[in-house]
Amino acid sequence: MKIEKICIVGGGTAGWMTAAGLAHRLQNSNIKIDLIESNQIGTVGVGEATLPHIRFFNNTLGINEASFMKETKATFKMGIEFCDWGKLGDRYIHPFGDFGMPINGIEFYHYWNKLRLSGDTSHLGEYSYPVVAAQLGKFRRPDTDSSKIESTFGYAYQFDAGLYAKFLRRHAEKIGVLRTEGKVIHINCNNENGFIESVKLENETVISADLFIDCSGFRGLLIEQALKTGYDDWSKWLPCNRAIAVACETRGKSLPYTRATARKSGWQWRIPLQHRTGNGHVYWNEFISDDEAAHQLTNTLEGPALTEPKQLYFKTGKRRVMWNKNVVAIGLSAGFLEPLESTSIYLIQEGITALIELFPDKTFPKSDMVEYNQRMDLHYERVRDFLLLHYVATQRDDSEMWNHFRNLKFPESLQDRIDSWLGRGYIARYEFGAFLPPSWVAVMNGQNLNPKAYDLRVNSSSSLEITQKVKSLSASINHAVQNTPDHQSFIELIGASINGTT
Amino acid sequence: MVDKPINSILVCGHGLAGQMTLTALSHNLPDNIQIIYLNLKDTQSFDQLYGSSLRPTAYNFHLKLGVTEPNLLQAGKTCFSYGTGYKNWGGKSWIQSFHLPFPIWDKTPFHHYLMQRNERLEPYLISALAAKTGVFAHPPRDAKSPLSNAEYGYHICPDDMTNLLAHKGVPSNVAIINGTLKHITHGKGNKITSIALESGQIISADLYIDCSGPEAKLLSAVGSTTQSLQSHSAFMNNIPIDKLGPPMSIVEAYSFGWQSNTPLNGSVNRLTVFNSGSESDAHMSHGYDPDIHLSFSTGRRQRAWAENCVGIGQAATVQTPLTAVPLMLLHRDIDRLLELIPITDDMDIERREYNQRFDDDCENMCLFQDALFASDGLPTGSFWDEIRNKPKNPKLTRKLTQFESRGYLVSYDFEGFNQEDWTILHFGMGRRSKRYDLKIDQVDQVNTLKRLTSLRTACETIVKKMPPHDNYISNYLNYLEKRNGS
Ligand SMILES: Cc1cc2nc3c(=O)[nH]c(=O)nc-3n(C[C@H](O)[C@H](O)[C@H](O)COP(=O)(O)OP(=O)(O)OC[C@H]3O[C@@H](n4cnc5c(N)ncnc54)[C@H](O)[C@@H]3O)c2cc1C
Repeated sequence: MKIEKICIVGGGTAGWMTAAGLAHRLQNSNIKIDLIESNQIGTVGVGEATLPHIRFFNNTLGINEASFMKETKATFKMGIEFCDWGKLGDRYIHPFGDFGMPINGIEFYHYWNKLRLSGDTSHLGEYSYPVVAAQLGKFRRPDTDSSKIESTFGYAYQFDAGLYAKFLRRHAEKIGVLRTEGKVIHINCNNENGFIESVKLENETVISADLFIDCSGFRGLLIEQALKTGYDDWSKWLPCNRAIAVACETRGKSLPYTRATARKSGWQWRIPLQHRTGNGHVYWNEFISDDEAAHQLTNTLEGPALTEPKQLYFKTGKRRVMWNKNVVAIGLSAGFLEPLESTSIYLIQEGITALIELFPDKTFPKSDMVEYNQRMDLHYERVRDFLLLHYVATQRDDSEMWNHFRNLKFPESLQDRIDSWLGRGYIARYEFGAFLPPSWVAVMNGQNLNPKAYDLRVNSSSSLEITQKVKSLSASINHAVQNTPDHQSFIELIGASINGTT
Repeated sequence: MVDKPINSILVCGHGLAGQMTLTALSHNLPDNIQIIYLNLKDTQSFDQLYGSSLRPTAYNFHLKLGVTEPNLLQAGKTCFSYGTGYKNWGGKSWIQSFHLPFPIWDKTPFHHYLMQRNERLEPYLISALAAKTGVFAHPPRDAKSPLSNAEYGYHICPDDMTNLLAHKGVPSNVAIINGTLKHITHGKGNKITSIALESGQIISADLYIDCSGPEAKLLSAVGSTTQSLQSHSAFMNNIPIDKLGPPMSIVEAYSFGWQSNTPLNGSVNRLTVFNSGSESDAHMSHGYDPDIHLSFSTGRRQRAWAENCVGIGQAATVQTPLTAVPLMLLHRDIDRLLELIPITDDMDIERREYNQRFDDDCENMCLFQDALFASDGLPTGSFWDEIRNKPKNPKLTRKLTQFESRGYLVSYDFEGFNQEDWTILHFGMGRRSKRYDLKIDQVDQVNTLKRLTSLRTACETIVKKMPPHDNYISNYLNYLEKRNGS
């Protein structure tokens, strides 16, 4: 008994990504896909920075990079620069890529740890091609030859999420998704099994389906308001619960990275797009008022504001189960872990991929649902620990929020990871998750968690050999970066500039 | 109190695990760390339980020991392997071949196409076809050739590997002592402080590596108890042959247990595993008076690293060589140890990480071995009943449920067996899912048929051109000899 009708409620980034992803996958299947969105409610209207995984999503849909970038006014993103996180005045880039290349099969950072402990004052970032290139505002696509230093990174985009949703909408409608504008005012559930049968719009239109995807944002219209699924509140780990966002004119060179600057009661983002810069202040309302947060944000804008400040409220955590009965929650309705590492769109993508792989039939086997929920929980939990790391790896004591984090008892899994790094520069690994060892190294090192020892295998090479190899690595990075075009010129070169002709 | 840096490591053991650990340490650690190898005499060897099958990943592992493929092939009876043929296993026979990767058409895993058409997987596995035909060739560099997907491993005799490593020469920081263990002295917190030998010699080190086999002479002395699963016996013979067999071993299920025959260069290694109550049946089937007769219990130590003592190989876990799991675990143990050689005598971090990874590796790898027993068609009898009565790991239940329900392959972190291995296993054991990927019904069936036919034909054509395993090995060895001579 195959699913015949799918109804996606919500036309934000999650809704249109899901619509495009499913429609692409289900082309020629006779499965009808409806998407309902309400102009009256609108979308959350933020979410501009992404992770490299998005390229895989776009490629699957057959999206041309240059036209996508042009239409969404996108820039390239090689990582995130974190300012003032460890201590005031600190800055480091968490790159989408590696630090150096392994020497004798041992990760480069072990060698660097040895050098550092012997008094070398160079920064780990100096040995990362994406860090050095990003700092100088340069960009190219990764080399396909894995022996080259220019192959050691990935990249993502910074774009206007509203335009991305529009872009995907066109794509999805072309391949059969039917869009209905209107506000859902009633949800009709089956009396016996509680499955959702249909939704009713303000204009009395009734849309029925076998499978409902809840992309209605924070409100979780179907998954929570109708099915009362419950929410795992993670604010004891990630307590920031409000944000204020505003776009401004860009000043200076186009930079291929996002910036996250720690503030006294939260942090502030800067996301450069082609036509403007997105800014936002994420904060914990326990320690700062909304007015003060807005004031701090507007005071630090690099150019004149282009939009009115937009206030957002959230509670970090995840839906107790993201697939409940015949409803799958994707996007903010499934959970939100705050935007520090641009993980929301990635988690949307994971949700879509898992749904495609576990696409149910009308009998809705429990095993599909259980597997989906287990798989998504793992992703959320792993992201949560990584985000929390940024807050707890701090020496700041200049505000109540930072004092709170310095005294926080955090999950054992995270404590163990930090101890292993500090004790001997060892990173506990996993295979499935957004953040692999180089990311953990970047943040721990960047926030002054410096190991007191290094992997003994490094001593098999003499200090002279190591110094020579490190020097030659540094030279090859500098040489490669010199030959890397400016970020802006590269955007123009590939025909992705909003000012260029196609 | 300041922690004392690790200056010396004692490897206490014999045979494969001892020699391999010694080589790995001496090859990868700096020479200011003193390594003592206490080569235990008068200790029964259970090395045959490591089995004779090496997976393709062994290639890279061996390089870390300074062992290349030519070294390996020139050592004793080594030959190539495309996998294992399971015969009469729960009423099914299939070749569990090494293969990477399967084609993905229209973003849909290959096995869904086969499930829709109710087809077998084997005709599309070049490594399985080659194994069955008894031919072998190294994969070409051209990724377009189906032969490039035929991964290969090796059949080895554990003693050959031990000898090969033993003859690699000893660096200056390694001291070798042959002796018999008499007494272990403990210090604060049950840590080992020294070891006394029958000869009267006393040896001490900062870290003790136990490679003494299932008895785990050191690890048991620091209180790591065994969690035993089953008691088994095994007969082993190396039966001389004139002509090298196909590049695959054969494992067959019998009511008393199972038997494997692994072709080696010059002999076939026959291993018969049974429960003590069925010895005469096992003996009859074995067909020879055993050269080696072992009694052993499978299971694992509660902690692979306790205090300042790490158990490697069978000292940490004993598994039957029904698959390549025992050698895979040994390799993993050594890799893990190298990454976590403690820096000082405060080993809390290393111990915690090591034990966590050991638990995961042990559990995840055994899932594959356990999955072989998840069949209704396997014989009855005490050997099989004991296995059947063992509680099924929920992680395996999840894997089986998902595959049987919809052909979905659940993966855990760093499992050791990849999705291709699992697909071959499920298909081989006759597991089919009730549903297949939705995409399959949307694709052009004529085109799918064309694609499948062309893949199958390409595999058949290539296999026809491949030389017999026997010829390939002798030509390869001749070539190596000439190259070394010139
Ligand atoms: C401060 C902040 C910063 C962020 N930054 C990033 C970032 O940098 N990178 C990143 O990946 N993510 C970021 N995110 C997350 C990102 O914004 C969201 O994941 C993304 O926008 C998806 O949102 P959504 O589609 O789930 O919800 P929304 O955008 O809220 O869309 C909900 C949709 O549901 C519809 N709807 C709701 N109720 C009804 C109804 N009753 N009837 C009909 N339609 C209805 C709405 O009209 C709308 O179309 C950020 C989030 C916040 C809060």
